Amino acid sequence: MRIKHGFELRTICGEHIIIAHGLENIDFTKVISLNESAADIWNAVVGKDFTVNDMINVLLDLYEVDQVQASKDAEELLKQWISAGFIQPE
Amino acid sequence: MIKQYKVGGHAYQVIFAEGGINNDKLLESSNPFETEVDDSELLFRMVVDDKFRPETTGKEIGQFDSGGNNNGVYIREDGSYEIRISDYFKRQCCLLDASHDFANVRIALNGDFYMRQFGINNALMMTMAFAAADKDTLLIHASVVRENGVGYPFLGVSGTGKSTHTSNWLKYIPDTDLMNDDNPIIRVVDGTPTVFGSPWSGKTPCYRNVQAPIGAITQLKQAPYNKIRRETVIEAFASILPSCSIMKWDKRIYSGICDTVTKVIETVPAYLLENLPDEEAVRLSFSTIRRDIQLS
Repeated sequence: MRIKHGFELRTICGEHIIIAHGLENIDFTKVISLNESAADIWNAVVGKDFTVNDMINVLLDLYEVDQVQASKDAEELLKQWISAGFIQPE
Repeated sequence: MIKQYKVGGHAYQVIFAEGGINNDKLLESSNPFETEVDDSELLFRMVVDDKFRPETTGKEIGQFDSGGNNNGVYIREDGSYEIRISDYFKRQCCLLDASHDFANVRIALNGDFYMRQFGINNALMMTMAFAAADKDTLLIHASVVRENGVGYPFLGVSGTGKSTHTSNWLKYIPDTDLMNDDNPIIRVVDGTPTVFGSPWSGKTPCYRNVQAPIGAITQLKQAPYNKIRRETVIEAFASILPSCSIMKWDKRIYSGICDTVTKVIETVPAYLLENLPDEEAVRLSFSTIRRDIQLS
């Protein structure tokens, strides 16, 4: 899967948000907020093909979490990203 | 006939084709903004020629409501635009053709004087918004009051009571004046978010060539009570962005406007005022906004 073209992470006063531009995202009018670890994952996977394992690895690399917790958090985040509409499946 | 104006610190030129019926009478609200500048300073040039017809229309992007009137937007392979502007009665009154960066624009007007006036002013607003989008500049839907040399824009969807709230400031707060009632310019000047009057002010004839640093930006929402609170940066972004004239499929315009909104939020506090159209709402917004500025 990939993050859809046109979705962009921006940082305003230390807060991370996702906005969308482009004709294909014309109906996406939301502004979505990401916390620090979600923003780390975004930066690691944006613009390339990735799996949930790549997301888990970002958490394991950057944070002191165990495999079980990292998997749970990454899967939950991915669910949110899919329902928000910015994930393009394989 | 060639006319030059400066709005929000940006200079532009309007050229009326010889032999046509259009002239600067259509731009009376621009008179306070007339200026003389060197060609090299121009942000854009607009040629007004009713005989003009573009060779191709391009691909339809969509039909967009702009507060009651419709704009049909078409884009060509080279990134240039055609925009068909209709008035509140769905009568097409302006055909606009713009280069990809809106630096060179041609328009053809149609209909009676009021349709032409509506058409050319909407064409100018759009051209200003999109030509200046990557130059720290926003054309924003707001009513703005000034008090003690500081500007306070109030935002909200049409019908929220922006004009009512600002007219109550004039009524209840001494030494306040109205800078613009509908479409002011916000520009970050040397790091300071600054609000400028413009030739476009909705139903209120308030076309003033004035400017002031911004004290706070307040989002209005109707409620059966009066309550004000500071917005988080994310809330501020989400409330200011939809108030700006924008084309989200155009990366230069969209990124530029997001960058400018970000710069504004970084320096200016944003508030949400849930309010009744009364004196108490004005006292509340005034005392809250003023207090915070004096502290900072």
